[in-house]
Amino acid sequence: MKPIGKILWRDLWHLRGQLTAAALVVACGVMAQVCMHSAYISLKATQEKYYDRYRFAAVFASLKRAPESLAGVIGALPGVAQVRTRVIVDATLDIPGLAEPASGRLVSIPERQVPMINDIYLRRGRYIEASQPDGVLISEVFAQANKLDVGDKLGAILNGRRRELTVVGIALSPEYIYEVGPGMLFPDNRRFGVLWMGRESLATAFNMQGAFNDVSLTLTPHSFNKGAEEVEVIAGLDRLLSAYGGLGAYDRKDQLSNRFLSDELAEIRVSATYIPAIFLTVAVFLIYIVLSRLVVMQRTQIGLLKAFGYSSASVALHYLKFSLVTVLSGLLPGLLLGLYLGQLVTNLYQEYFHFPLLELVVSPEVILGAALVNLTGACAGATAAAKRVAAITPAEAMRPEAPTNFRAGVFERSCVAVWLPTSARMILRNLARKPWKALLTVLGIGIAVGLMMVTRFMLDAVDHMMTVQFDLVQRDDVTILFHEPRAASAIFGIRQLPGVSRAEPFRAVPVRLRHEHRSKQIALTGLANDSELHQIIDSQLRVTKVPAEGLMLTRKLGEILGVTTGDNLTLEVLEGSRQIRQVAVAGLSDELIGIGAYMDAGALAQLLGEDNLISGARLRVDPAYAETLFSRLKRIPAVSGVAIRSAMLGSVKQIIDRAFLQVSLVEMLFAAVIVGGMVYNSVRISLSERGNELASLRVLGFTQREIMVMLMGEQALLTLLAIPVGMVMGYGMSAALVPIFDREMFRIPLVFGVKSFTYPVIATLVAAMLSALLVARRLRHLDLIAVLKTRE
Amino acid sequence: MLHPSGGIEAHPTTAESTGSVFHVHKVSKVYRVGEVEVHALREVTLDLYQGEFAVLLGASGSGKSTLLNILGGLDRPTSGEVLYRDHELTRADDAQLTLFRREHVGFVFQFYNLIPSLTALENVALVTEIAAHPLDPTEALKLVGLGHRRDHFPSQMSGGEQQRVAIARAVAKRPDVLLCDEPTGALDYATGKLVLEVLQLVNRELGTITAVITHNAAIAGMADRVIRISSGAIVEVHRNEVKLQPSEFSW
Ligand SMILES: Nc1ncnc2c1ncn2[C@@H]1O[C@H](COP(=O)(O)OP(=O)(O)OP(=O)(O)O)[C@@H](O)[C@H]1O
Ligand SMILES: [Mg+2]
Repeated sequence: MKPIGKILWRDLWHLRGQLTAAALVVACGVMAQVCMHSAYISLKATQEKYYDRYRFAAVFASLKRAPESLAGVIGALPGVAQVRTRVIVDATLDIPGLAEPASGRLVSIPERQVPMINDIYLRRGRYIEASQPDGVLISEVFAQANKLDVGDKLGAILNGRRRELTVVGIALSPEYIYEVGPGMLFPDNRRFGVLWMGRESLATAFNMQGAFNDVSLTLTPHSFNKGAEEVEVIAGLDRLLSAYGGLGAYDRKDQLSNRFLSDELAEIRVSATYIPAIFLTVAVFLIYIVLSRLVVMQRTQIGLLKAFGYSSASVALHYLKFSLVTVLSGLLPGLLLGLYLGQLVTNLYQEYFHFPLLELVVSPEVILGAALVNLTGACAGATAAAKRVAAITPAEAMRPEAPTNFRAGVFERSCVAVWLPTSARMILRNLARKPWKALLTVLGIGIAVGLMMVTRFMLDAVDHMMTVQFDLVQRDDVTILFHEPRAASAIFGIRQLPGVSRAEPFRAVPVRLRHEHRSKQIALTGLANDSELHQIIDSQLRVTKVPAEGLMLTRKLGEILGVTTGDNLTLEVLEGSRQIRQVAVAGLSDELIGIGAYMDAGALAQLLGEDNLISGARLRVDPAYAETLFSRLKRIPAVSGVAIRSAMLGSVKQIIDRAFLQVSLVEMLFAAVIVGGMVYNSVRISLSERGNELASLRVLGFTQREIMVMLMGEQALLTLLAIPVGMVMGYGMSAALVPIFDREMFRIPLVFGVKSFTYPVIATLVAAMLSALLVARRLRHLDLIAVLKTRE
Repeated sequence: MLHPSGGIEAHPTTAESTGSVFHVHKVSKVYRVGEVEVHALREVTLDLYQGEFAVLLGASGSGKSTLLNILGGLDRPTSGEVLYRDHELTRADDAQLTLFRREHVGFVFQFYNLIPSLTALENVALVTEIAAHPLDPTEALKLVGLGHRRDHFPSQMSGGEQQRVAIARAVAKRPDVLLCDEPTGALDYATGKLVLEVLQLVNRELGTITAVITHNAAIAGMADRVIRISSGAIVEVHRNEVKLQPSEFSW
């Protein structure tokens, strides 16, 4: 080996601790980058392939009922490639072993398997047969959650009649990759599932022979102006369906499952960019400070090498190799762990997004990209340090470095300084001597604090969102939905049910709201003035009342439509006699989940020209009677759906515990690595710069503990300073995330719980202390005698 | 003024009116580097007495610094026993040695070892803050003739000035013993003399036991006793009948 090579390995060994810290940060960054990018690519590619192979529709519409012959007319619309008509109904299910009633979405499929739009993938069992009208396919997650398998039976109330259905197969569909019930945010796979049933038997049960109530389309490929064409098709379809109770056509972006998946994809994409970027920045900084210090310490050696005839370039290259070795040693484990973590994340995704096959795509681009980005970053850090090498002349290097110039700073001259003990002044002056390094250290640790805070914030925000929704807005224990609107007197029967202590009826009507070129289909809810079980809140979380006249919209819906209080809207009722009215927006409400439109129950009845029909009821239930109530509800033919608060909260909690907590734990750990790396390196460098000084102090009779304070004091001060700085950054980063999560489905408010502050502080202090202790061990081995022999 | 070096095994058994403060008994120090054993000290026995000024002379590598470091509680002998009054330094643990240095010992080194981030005054104050009965730091600086440089940082002072600050720092806590390892080694002639005068002044005014290592035999004239070391053993102890002032000798 060439001598310069030997020097490299010896110095690498000498600096192993510091370079390992930098390598760890690199590893975390690479890990995050590879994991998230791979997960993104896998999810995205699988989605596209699945949509393509199983012919996921481009346009969707529900309607009340139309004759099958209309399908031909729809198919003739310009731009439409294929049409599939279906019968889709929601029904109450009675699952063996489940006390509560479940909801099922029954989707019709042809009796004979043919390739079709929104095709299904048969995982197990067989396709349905015309000879077995009660045979159904059920969705895989629903089957898993309820431990149902081929051959098992389940009860269903179909149009008021209880039927025994037999599971003949387990299936998946691109339409239900994210399988949530109507109006739900998080999946509850025990209590909501999709069932596919033969068109004939389903139509027969619901008197829909020769008719359909759902249509989905694909568009002709290669149309060069896709967006415009889609708008045309939607408008055309709406025109055709309006006579048949059309509920408004929409495209993929409003399709529930696709929307969740797309939102999730957009979100991983953001985190896949900014999290690795933070790590890379910190790693580059660490490499820079370690190498700069090394260059300063090795001035003499550098001068000698140059005097021997090594060129500046070859010496600079020598230092560049340090950073390459560091990055490479972080890169390889980072890549492997990243892929492993990517696999775990993909598995986690599989619990929420259901594909026939979701496999981690190991993409060479992702791996090369991570390698390239990190190597480039490392070179940048090293180049900055290597520039100093070039500046050193052989002669200069022979002289000892000029004694460090200290000066009393501004702070020192202030009157406070008089009271400071001398050791505190040492700390302050050492900080003041390298303000940039101090600043960057504060920023580096701060960013980690911020990262931890963002992580916690997400949990706190979801928590807050759920609290607001379920304590202030949705306060009922059970919501029941009727198949058809019923007379107001139906509420009396409901009040008689066991355990029901309060029952509030409500009316929900499908409407389309239009303002200028914007429109939105939504269920308009009529609320009674004395409604307690469903309340409306403003931005200060105060409970407000629905105004007697006009519409009340959730703020998000107002944004979507571009309206605010006082504006007028066109309201098209998509049911019954399909009135079209101008209505004023009388107020905005601030719910965090979903979007909604409210009207006073009386005003709505007047608008619809009906006398107080009700679509469902919200109940307060005595928990002791819950079981009895549930078994009764399973048998009430008029009920098409039952939503149960406790079950909903339970499934949400499970999801948060499983997915969110794990992810946030990993992110906390990553952030702690940054803190540890920063502190360790900082203290190590201080020790190398001030080792002689500290040894002299030991000679003078200072104890281990006292010199530890002098060494760590500087770092402790920076860490403490970094905490508020990090909180400000964390606040900023969280605030930046809020618009990303400002969605129709839910919005996270900029709200922090106490844990958003305490967890990052504790984690930072623990990480800082642990890494400081690693260095502190070295103080025990300070050579008190050697220091007396050497000149600074 | 040169002292002829004799090959006599010297034991300073002279009865003094003042008592022995340091008692070094058969102290040996062996360094093991790989297969090689280096005997830095071989069964050295020596006493240091209240208020005396001792000079240690010897060739490079003869073991002077090793002995001084053991006396100052910086190092431990391989065998033998060191007593400081009633403290048995050879039995003390690290914390006790630290306390010993803190309470009783002042050090002055060849390379000053000042704290670069502290002014002259603060360098002194650093030590007086942890001492029981210190001098006022300003007084200590005045003692070495640097009262007017109190707010200067080490990088703003010459080597000799830094060394005088180091002496002020060492004496400011009123140590019982002042140990100086080649205090003039890095200084020019005139400055060296200045520093020696300060050491003598401190010894006289505060009655501090002072042990000074030097390569410079001329300096021996200012000592009460001159201890000559060769190859790890004391080869001669010479008592000066007349102590000279630094101004009275030259090299
Ligand atoms: N840490 C060590 N490891 C090995 N040998 C050592 C060590 N320290 C000192 N020695 C050896 O011990 C012997 C005495 O060293 P010491 O430093 O006491 O000499 P000295 O008399 O002070 O010399 P100088 O006048 O050059 O300072 C020398 O031979 C030296 O090589
Ligand atoms: Mg020596």
